[in-house]
Amino acid sequence: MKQENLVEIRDLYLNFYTYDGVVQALDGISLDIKRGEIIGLVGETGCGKSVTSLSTLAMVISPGNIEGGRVELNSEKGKVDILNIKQSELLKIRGREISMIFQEPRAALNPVYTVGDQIAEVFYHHRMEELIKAAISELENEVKRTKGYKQSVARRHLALLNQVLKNPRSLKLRFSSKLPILRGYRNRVKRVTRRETVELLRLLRIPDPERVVDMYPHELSGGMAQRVVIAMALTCNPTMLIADEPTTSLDVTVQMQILHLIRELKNKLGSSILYVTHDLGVVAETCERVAVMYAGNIVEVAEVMPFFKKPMHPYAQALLQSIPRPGQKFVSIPGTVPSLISPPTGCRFHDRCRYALEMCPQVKPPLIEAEEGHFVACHLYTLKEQYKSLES
Amino acid sequence: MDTLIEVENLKKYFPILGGVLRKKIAEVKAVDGVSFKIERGETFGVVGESGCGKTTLGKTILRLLKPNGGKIFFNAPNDELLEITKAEEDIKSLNQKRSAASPARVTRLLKRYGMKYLSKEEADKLKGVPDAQLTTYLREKIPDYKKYDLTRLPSARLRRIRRHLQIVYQDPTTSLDPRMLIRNIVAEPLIAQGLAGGRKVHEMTLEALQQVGLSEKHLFRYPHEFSGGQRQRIAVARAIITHPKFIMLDEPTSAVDVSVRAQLLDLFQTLQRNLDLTYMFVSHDLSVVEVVSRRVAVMYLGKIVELSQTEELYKEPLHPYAHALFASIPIPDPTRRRERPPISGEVPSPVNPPSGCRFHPRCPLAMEICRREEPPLLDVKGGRDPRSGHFVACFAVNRPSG
Repeated sequence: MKQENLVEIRDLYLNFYTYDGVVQALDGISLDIKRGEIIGLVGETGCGKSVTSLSTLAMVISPGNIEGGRVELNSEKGKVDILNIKQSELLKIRGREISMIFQEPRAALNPVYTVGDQIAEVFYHHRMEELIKAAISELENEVKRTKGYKQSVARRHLALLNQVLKNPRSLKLRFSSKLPILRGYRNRVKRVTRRETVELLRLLRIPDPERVVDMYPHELSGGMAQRVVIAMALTCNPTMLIADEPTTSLDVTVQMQILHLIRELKNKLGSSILYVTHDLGVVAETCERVAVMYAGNIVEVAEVMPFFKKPMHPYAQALLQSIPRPGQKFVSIPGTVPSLISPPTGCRFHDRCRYALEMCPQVKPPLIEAEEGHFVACHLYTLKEQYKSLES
Repeated sequence: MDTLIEVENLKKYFPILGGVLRKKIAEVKAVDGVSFKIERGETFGVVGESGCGKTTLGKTILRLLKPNGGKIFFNAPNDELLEITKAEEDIKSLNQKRSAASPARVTRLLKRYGMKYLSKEEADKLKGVPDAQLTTYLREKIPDYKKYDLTRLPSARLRRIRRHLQIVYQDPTTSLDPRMLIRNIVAEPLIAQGLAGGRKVHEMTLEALQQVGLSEKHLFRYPHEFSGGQRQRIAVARAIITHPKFIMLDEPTSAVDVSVRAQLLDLFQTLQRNLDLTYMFVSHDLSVVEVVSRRVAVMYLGKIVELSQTEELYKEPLHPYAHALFASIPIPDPTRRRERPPISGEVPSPVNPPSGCRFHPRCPLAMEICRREEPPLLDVKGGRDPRSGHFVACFAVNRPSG
């Protein structure tokens, strides 16, 4: 079954302009993310995996600069190139269609606001209309149920909220928001938001969500803080979720809980997830497909099962072998990750590769489909393909 | 094999100060009654989640922290021999100056060691002999190794022992001074300990660097010029330059990438073979510990819950916490995916640990007794040799007889 692509990254080039020189962080990468899948993006530190995830949200800031390429999102309104749209459009996509879970939950939360306030902010930004409508329908019920003074207050609030939907900047609203009884109409929306927030936290299996809503980030443990950050990312049921090493700072037992939670939420909400990590064990545990990066290039893309059974690219093979396993001697990759200021020519892995051919330092290997659904960028396989086509 | 380090009922509490007068209002029981032995030449792994006290345990053994209770015995080369070597050197330089041997030194050395190691007659006999003969005589009498109780050693003598106890910290970017040259960083322990001077410092620095796979060209560089793996190598060179007996490795591989990690683990094993080192390997990364350690202790909230030979522990962890911990390691094999997380909840605060067995609120096997009493660490195999024992602190495993 061929799934539709949700996000297509095409020939993305990205440079960092530093004092030491131009760091060529991304060297023309292409990646498809299908609808409703979890794809793992693995690689060592500095290989460009975080930058790739930031580019999908057009969040690269100076000294980084995107030199070329497209990031196309298949949204409800059709295809949009995220790197080439108006800022106002982008703000609508961020958080609603594509949202992000950051690595360090403590750093992603604002220490001076409560958890509830921070999640509410996302609600207000993207789903204000829905919230107001929910509040209105609630008020309509109240008008029917109550009598006397309460009913008249509810009626006033209802009128004001309808006014908000029509024209939030009208003089009438500005005037009423100063009056003690009338300005209560704003609390109606707040109450609805809070209820939604609690629901969301409950979805993330946070114990006692009514209490947690009013807590400050420092009162939470690492695992709870990460759950809150995930909750913020999920407020609008995004179609695409980017998780940038969400469990790296957590302990193994908590990590396992979060991994299962992410997998479960994906099944429930049907979002696609781009899971950035350096841990192949986590990939095996969560992901359906995997993309391996090395020094700013994607060297291999495959389904998880065939990848772990038979990795194709020499770097991927070495990476799998360097995981310590009992009873096996681990094989370390000779050499170190090259500097991206003056990266090796041709295939960037050639100076550490044990199969390096003569052509490797000269020609950059393209990402080809060596087997069905198994893409690899290595001359060993390009040559094989060429022989095959010659024979036939 | 003999015992290098023996820890008995070690305790380390950190006070929490509060109120206007900064009085102690509570204690964080980071290490609470831990006992074990480390054999010479082995790698002793300590695993546990963050906040379980594994790093505190290591630092307390090295006496970087003052314990609140318990004993740490360290079987070290006798530091009195060092003093005699110094005396010998002094005598040599005196003889070169052609001055007579000083009688004061004889009396001093005799006073200090004569009473301890010689009988009264022997000491009397030695009163007239020249210094050079006296030192050789004493050297024969004084044993090479001695068991020190690090918790009671006076600080001046502790300083002399410290050269045998070294540490490699987690993050080399913060443990290396950015404003010092590699040469000075690596040589600093030698100078601080007064072990060498002049040309010898340079030679020993170079030797240590070569042992960790660096070379002469790296001597005059600064830490920022190195990659993460190389920086950790520098930190290791700094630790081995004093020829220590025991090195505590505090999560030495958690700040580096997978490929570099394998290289570092290789280095640790080579050094252990060549230099006859004993390691205590503290890490939260269970797979790394499994590869390097002979025995492993699992810690939970300041206590050891299970201690055993590595293969036994990893094959069949008996304590429910150890079981959950090992089941939580992500395995790089998608065919072995798990359906549900093996354990729920998080580690409680060590300020107010649960009563009885500290794991009971999260334990699937919790019984009535777990709430009331603390389970002792007992050998389930009941073998004669405690070194190959499998110790577990759990009532469900160590059922009271019958």
